[in-house]
Amino acid sequence: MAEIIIMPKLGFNMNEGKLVQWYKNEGNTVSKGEPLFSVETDKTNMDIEATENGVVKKLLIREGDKIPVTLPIAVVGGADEDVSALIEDAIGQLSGGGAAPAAEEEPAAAPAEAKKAEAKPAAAPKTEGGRMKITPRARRVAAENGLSLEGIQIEGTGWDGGICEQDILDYLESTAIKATPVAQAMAKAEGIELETVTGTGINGKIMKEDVEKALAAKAKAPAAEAACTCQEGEKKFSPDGKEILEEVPYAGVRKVIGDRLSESKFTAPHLYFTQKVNLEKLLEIRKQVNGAQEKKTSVTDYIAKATIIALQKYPDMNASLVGETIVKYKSVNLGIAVASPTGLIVPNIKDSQNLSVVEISKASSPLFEKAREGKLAIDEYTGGTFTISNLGMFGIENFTAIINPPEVGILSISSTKDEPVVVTKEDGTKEIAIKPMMNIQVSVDHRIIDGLLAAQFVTEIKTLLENPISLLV
Amino acid sequence: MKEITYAQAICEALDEEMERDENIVMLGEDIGFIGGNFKTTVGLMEKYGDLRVKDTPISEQGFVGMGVGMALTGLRPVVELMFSDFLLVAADQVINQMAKIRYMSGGQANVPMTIRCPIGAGRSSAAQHSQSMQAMVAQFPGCKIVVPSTAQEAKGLLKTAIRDDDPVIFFEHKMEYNKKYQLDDIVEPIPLGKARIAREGKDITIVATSSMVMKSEEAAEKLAKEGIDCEVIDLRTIVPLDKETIIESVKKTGKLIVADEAHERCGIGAEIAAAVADDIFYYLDAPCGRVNNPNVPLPFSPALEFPLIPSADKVYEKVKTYFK
Repeated sequence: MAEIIIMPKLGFNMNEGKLVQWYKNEGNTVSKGEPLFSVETDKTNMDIEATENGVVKKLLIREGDKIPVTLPIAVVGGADEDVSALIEDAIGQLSGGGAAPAAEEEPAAAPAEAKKAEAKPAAAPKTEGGRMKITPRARRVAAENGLSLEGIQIEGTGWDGGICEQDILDYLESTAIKATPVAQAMAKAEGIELETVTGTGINGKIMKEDVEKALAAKAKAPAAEAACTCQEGEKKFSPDGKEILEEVPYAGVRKVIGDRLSESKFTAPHLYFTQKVNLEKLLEIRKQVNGAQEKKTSVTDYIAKATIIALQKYPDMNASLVGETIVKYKSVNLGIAVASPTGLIVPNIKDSQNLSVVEISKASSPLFEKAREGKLAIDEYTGGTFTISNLGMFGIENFTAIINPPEVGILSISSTKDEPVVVTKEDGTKEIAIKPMMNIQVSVDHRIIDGLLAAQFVTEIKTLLENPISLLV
Repeated sequence: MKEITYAQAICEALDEEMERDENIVMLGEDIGFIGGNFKTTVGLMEKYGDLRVKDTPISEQGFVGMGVGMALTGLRPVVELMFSDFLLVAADQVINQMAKIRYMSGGQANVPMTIRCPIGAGRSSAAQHSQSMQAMVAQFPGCKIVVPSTAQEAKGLLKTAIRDDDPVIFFEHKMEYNKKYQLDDIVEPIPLGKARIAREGKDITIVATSSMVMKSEEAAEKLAKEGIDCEVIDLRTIVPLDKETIIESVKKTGKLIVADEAHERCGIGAEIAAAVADDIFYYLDAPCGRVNNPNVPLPFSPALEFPLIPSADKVYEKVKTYFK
């Protein structure tokens, strides 16, 4: 049975593939499992194996050609099979002939998404010697409109079949989502993606009413997705008979927190290190500082300072994994987790690397206040480089935090409690004394932070906190 | 407004200028008694006398050189060559003397002289009398090159050429002489170096010289019926070249054709195409095209001659290649 071989989609973000090499020529026999060709994706080269036995009847693209995924690249069939119809079909698909009838049947009120797809003919643009055939003017117009020509699918109608200015203008026109200014402003304010809205105006233009409809649908959606409940009088029951107290949509801030933390926990392999810190000296110094000035400092302010110093000493901890690159930051934007009415939020102190303890205290107090009132501005809770989370005030012995992505670490701070500890006196003898002790734990992303570094980092913080004079000089 | 021929418009320009300035004298073959081979000087000898309108022997090198000498002494000679092909006979006087004297004398002397000569094929004048020499002389610095289109344009430009204090070569088109044109009663001198937009359009720019302007307008009329909106620029002068007008137009249309009757090779079309690519490469939406005589001698036989001449149809066909 003859079949069309297509350019495979080898990754979620792969839109086109480059044929690196044909392992078979036209007329060669190929067995199932034998490599047929090699494809270059944005990350790597991959060999693709034949899925059936047969003979290579036709190779439709050349080595080095780039072509959108799912388009035909070859026809394989039985040795004596007539595959001319299939080849014709494949060539038709390559030149975009197949797309037209479907487009004509599109209803007037098709979503913008569908219109977008229709605007792109399936055929790859003509090239000459591997270079896209496009006029200088078309290039300029594309650049002026921020249109990237990389892998673009436009049929050239200009000189010698090349892409001309009009082709670019038509493409821009066809891909632009048409919406009235009011609809655009509304969608922006409500955070609605225009791509998802169905336009009912002329030529599918998105009107104010369409955005309103989309808003209403969005509000309804969580309820519709909630577990099916069977009502019985005033009481609500789950399908398996449990009485329900309350149903709350998993949406908004709750969903953002949930999605981010699951992403963090599922993608970053977490690794944890705990240290016990003797706060005797720090509490004494804090008492003196607070006695000497108006602005009262908190334990958190000192821990923040110690963390900032440690981050500067170990900049690998003050980093993000961005795609394929580990980005280490010079700025320390220290995030401090706060419970807000809508849920957990982490405002951060921008460029905290040069701040003193008192300055940290002054910078963080208004952020905490705003967070508790739910009034933080976006830039006040985004752009952090490391987070500390202090639950000491709730008497927690020890806890483990999930990294706040895209950061690579988080420091959990538990409560300070008087504990019997073994202390070494000046003469070398040991005794048991009562000291204020606190657990701190660092969680790190093991993809880029190894255990030794994390251990050094958390120990550095412990050392700084136990010798607090270093935090003040 | 009156209806007169192109030749009469030239004659009017000469007459009005001679009337205005008694330093203007004319030299040429058959310009006096006969009134010019193409009837461009009818009645001028009777009016201004044989001292100011001088029939010369068949000696282009001699009387062009004479004109240069007259110009140096303060006269304003207008020298007629019966065919532009004869510029080659007088080439040394034209290129090495007339065009060079201001430079060679360090600006101490200038040559306020105009050479008039007809170009173009279409009269079975054969290979030595049918050429269009405008691009060839444009190669050399030192003189201005005028290629007028209509009778009105020819009259206005000739007046300016005669008044110019430096040498000008003025190319009339021999197939235009007997054509009738509407002419304003008073034609003011037209400045040299400023092209004229003969027809406004947005789809393609056709830069044309001499009679190619009228042929391009004719093609543009036909193309307009097919929805192709041509802009036709009457170049007026090759030197100085009005790049600004051309570039403004091509910026708008993105496409350029240059229509000129001279041979295609190393012609004014190549010069303009290169200038445009230099200045506004990223505005070009197609290669620059040319409509010219092919690179072959022009034959005597009308059956062979006519198919070679760039016509309105050829401009039309050329434009069509851009809108397939």
